[in-house]
Amino acid sequence: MVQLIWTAFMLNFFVVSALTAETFEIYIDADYSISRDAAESIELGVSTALSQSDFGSDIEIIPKNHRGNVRRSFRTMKEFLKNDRALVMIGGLHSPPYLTHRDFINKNELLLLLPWSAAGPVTRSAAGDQNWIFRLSVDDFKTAPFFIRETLDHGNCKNLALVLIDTGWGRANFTSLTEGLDNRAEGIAIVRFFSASIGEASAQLLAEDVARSGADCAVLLANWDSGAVVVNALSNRTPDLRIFSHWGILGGAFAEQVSHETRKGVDLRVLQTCGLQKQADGSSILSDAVRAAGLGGAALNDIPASTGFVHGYDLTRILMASIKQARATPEWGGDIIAKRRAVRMALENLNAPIHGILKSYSAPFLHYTPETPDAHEALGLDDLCMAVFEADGRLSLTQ
Amino acid sequence: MLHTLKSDPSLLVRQFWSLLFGVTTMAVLVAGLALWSTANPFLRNQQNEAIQKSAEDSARNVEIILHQHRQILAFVASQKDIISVSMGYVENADILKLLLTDAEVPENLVWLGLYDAFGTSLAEQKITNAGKSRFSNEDINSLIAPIIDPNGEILQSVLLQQDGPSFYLLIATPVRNNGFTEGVVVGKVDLLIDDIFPPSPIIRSATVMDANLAPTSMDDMDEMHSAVASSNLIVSIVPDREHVALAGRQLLFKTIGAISLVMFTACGALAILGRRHIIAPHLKLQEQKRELNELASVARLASDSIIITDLEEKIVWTNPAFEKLSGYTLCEVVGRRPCDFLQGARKTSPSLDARFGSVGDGVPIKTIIENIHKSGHRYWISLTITPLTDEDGAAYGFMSFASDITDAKHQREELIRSKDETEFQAMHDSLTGLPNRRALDAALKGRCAFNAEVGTMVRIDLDHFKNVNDNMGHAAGDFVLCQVADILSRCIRNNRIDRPADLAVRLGGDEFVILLGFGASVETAGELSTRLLSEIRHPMSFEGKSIKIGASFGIASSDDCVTAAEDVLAGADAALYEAKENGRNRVSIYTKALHRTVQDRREMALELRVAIERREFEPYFQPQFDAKTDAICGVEVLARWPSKRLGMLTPDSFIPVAEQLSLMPEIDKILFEKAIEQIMRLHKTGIFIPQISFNVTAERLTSGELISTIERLGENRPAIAIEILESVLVEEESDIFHFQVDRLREAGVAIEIDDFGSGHTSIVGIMKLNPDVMKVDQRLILPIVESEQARGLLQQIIGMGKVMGLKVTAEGVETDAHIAIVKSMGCDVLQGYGLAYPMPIDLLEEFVRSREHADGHLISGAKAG
Repeated sequence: MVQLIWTAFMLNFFVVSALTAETFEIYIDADYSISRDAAESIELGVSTALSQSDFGSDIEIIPKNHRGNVRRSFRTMKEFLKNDRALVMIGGLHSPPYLTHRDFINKNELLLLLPWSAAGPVTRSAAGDQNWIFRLSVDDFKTAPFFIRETLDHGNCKNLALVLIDTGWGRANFTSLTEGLDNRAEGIAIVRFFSASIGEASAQLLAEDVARSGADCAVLLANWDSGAVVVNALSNRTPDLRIFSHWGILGGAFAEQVSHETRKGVDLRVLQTCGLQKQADGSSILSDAVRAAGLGGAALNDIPASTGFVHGYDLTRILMASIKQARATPEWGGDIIAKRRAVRMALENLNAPIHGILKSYSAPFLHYTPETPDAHEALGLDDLCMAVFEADGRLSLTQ
Repeated sequence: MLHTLKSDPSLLVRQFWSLLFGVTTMAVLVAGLALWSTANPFLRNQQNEAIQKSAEDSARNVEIILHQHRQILAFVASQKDIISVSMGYVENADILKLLLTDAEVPENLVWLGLYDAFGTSLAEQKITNAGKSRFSNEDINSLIAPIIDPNGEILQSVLLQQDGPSFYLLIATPVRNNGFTEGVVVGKVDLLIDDIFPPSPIIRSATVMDANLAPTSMDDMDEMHSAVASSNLIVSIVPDREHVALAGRQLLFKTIGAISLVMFTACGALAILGRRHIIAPHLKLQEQKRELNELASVARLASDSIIITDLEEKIVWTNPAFEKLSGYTLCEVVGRRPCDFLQGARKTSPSLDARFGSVGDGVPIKTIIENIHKSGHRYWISLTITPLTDEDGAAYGFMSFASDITDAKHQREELIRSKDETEFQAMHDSLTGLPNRRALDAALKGRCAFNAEVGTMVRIDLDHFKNVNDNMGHAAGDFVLCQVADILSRCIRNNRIDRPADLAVRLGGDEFVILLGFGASVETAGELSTRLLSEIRHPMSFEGKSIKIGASFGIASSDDCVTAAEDVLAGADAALYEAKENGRNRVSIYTKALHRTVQDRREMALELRVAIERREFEPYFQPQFDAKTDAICGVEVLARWPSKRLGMLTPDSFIPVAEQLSLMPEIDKILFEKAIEQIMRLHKTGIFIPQISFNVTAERLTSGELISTIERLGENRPAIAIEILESVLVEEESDIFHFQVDRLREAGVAIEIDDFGSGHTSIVGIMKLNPDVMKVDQRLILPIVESEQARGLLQQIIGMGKVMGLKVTAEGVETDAHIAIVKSMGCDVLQGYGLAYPMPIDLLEEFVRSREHADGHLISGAKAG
């Protein structure tokens, strides 16, 4: 027994020693500038989850601000790959960096976890490539059906206006939305793409077009900044329009730039994962996480862009479980590349459920093949909810 | 010293001009120097300011270009597609090309490039050929690095590059997304230096440069810099100092030229004014000084006595000559009036006092006065007193010049006396003491000078005065003349109150004239003449012998409305002539009838002159017949004047006038030439005229012209005889006359005495002449038919001729009785109307031929004409 304890002690000692002796870095490649709330919320979730793990202190979070710039993000990726301590990269709000460089990521075995990026193709690798991208967030391949359901089925919308940011993310959603509407009697009144840097004048023109289209509902895909300009313009021109927005608008000071009256006037609803539901349900994990995050008795919706916190927290818990599982593998003794492989392998092969805020994840990721497109998707359609802004800017579940 | 004085004016003028020129030149030079010393810094400062302004303007030009292109680049950078590419949302290397399609961009924007936030080129577009090649990647990186620096705040960046003469700017502008730089748009701009730096003569070179590269060494301190706002560029301009120096020199030269013009104009005016108001008065002053010095010297050395007084005639100064002349020293006379001691008891000369008044009026006087020497003797001086005046003409004294003329005065008095005598003699006849012809002329001239009529004149000629001389000697003649002069002097009126005096004049010989005083009528003259005639005819006693003489008087007056003033003497002469013609010892008045005769003679005279000129006189030939054979032995040439106006005139009508006018020699010459020519022509026809006789005046004979003419005729000339009037023999006793007669005789010319017996011939004279023929005056022939006495007289004359060995020709043979008588008396040659009239040559030819045809040489009573 003593020997067993000694053995266990020594094994644990070695494992711990090994971890202790070797520190890793987790890159958070996010927009800390424009979508700062989202980035910091993600980082808070990550750090909270790390802080609750056994070896959280051995992993250093390296925030990398790409400011939404694909190229900067790409440089971060290159830097990451050269860093023999960089184990995992966690993405931010934006999808374009990963849509653009998905193949690079996969080819270079860059382990990327996405707590917020929603673009559907990101987690679906090209044919023949390995898939190193894992997501615990909304999957736009699923948001299109969700929006169709929310607008047409639950919202009784008849004519949809698709108001989409002119990026790969927006265009991906355009495809999925139009495909989802193909078999529906309701139609698309108008489709308008707008620049990520749209100004008020362009927004007014856009609103004019939407107004003339006769749309009664609009599906909005935007970042918070461009989204605020567009919502204000639409509200001003078509106050009766109801807007169903992707959660991209949550990454920053949207609620500060779009008044509550405006939000209320356009019956603005925003896509969410159902974390608020968990708060409403009185989740102890959530409350522990919030507490661990140093927020005291705050509620989840007190956290700006709380989606990032929730997703980051849950994704990091999965990562910690994966690392923990990987460390037991021989590959873990290899270089950082080997370790990344080991962790990726563990992610796709988690052998124990992980309890997150949103849910308990049991084998959240599987080995990806074209036949299993959702293999790297931790959430499903059922994990999506719609929320509204309160007067103070916090989100609340729709009734 | 005199030379020095004379050279002073030119020296003064030279000094004046030199000073004026020197001052003017100095003023111009000083002005130029002052201008040079002030203008250069001023111009340099002006240039610096202009350069600085030019630099600032150029910097602004660059700034405008920068701003313009930054605007363009900012516009490009703000395009969503550019942002999308910069953010990496879209990969599009042709984004710039697409963006610039159909867009208008400035021509100097030559290239555009798009870089991401890390300096990686995303797209580029060459707009013009200028391209990008001159900019390296390092240039680009250095340009955009500060912009994309995450920690930097620089949003603008400019890079300058020079490519030969061209300058290019690389301008970088950030592509911003939500306020963050996510890329850079870079534009390459051709600066178009000419637009930035307009050509300027004051700029040597201009350039744009990076402020960090601007030279700071002292050598380049001349450069002017101006920073281009919101860039690291500066504009650098190097002034063209040479241009400014040239401009300075030009300004200097032009200004000096202008100043010179002004100065020299002003100084020219000053020179003109100075010359007039400074030089001229100065020269005048010098001249006056010189003259004064000279005058003082002259005055001291002068031989004339000079006295200078004040206005009160008190002596101020005298020269040494005064002391010598008057005997008084200067000290003795200063303050005294000259008249107080030079005029003795007279104190002053009344005439001098009168004249002194005029001196006081500024008019000089000149006079001759007699002064008293200190020693008491008297002397004459020629005195000139001149007022002395200042420049304003105000008199301040007198100056007198006096020269001793005592000797000269005495000499002149003597001279005047001599001169008076000479003039008296010149104007008076030395024999009679009467005024002479000159006196008469002077009197007439004097009357004409006073526009007075000549008045009345009496012409007196003593009758037969020659006889007195001839018979009683010249002393008797002179006595007679003096007596007559005395009669005239007594009888004429001398100066009287009621009438001016008459003037008795001896013209010469026995000719006298009395020019009666103004107002004397013809009647008065007639009375005077009658009285004079009466007085003259009284017998005179000379050396115990009684002389009786008569006189003829001719009176003419300009008051008779007949005679012009200038013709009075001629009128009186004509009247005298008439008196003589009418028998002498009488008084004849120039009447209208006489005036008419005179007029006729004048007209005749005019006609005669024209006739001579036209050679109108024609020879008529009166044949002479041999008394024994009746054959024609010769012809006498007689003058005829076939006047177109007066008709055929015989010598009686025109010869007296011709003789008065001395035209006879010319008439004789014409007749001679024509007659010889006609006779010689007649000879050629076979008719031979044995001799041709011409009447010859003494003047023509003595002139030698006749003998010359005859000699020129040669040997084939006809036989020539000349007829000399008996009266000529009486009057001409000169050797030359006889010499010429001898020459004629030697030339084969026969000498005939014409009109023998007319009463004057001296037998001795005839003997001396030794003529060949004696032609008896027809007045002795005509009466022989009726008068025995006449026949006796003729017989004696013929006898005398025979004694003297002369042929005798009888003129005036008019009848057969005459022919018979003269033939019987032994005349050798007959001539007269009883035989043949004078006839022209053609009738002569006919006459001769008819006689030959009649076969008789004597054709009694044959007449021609």
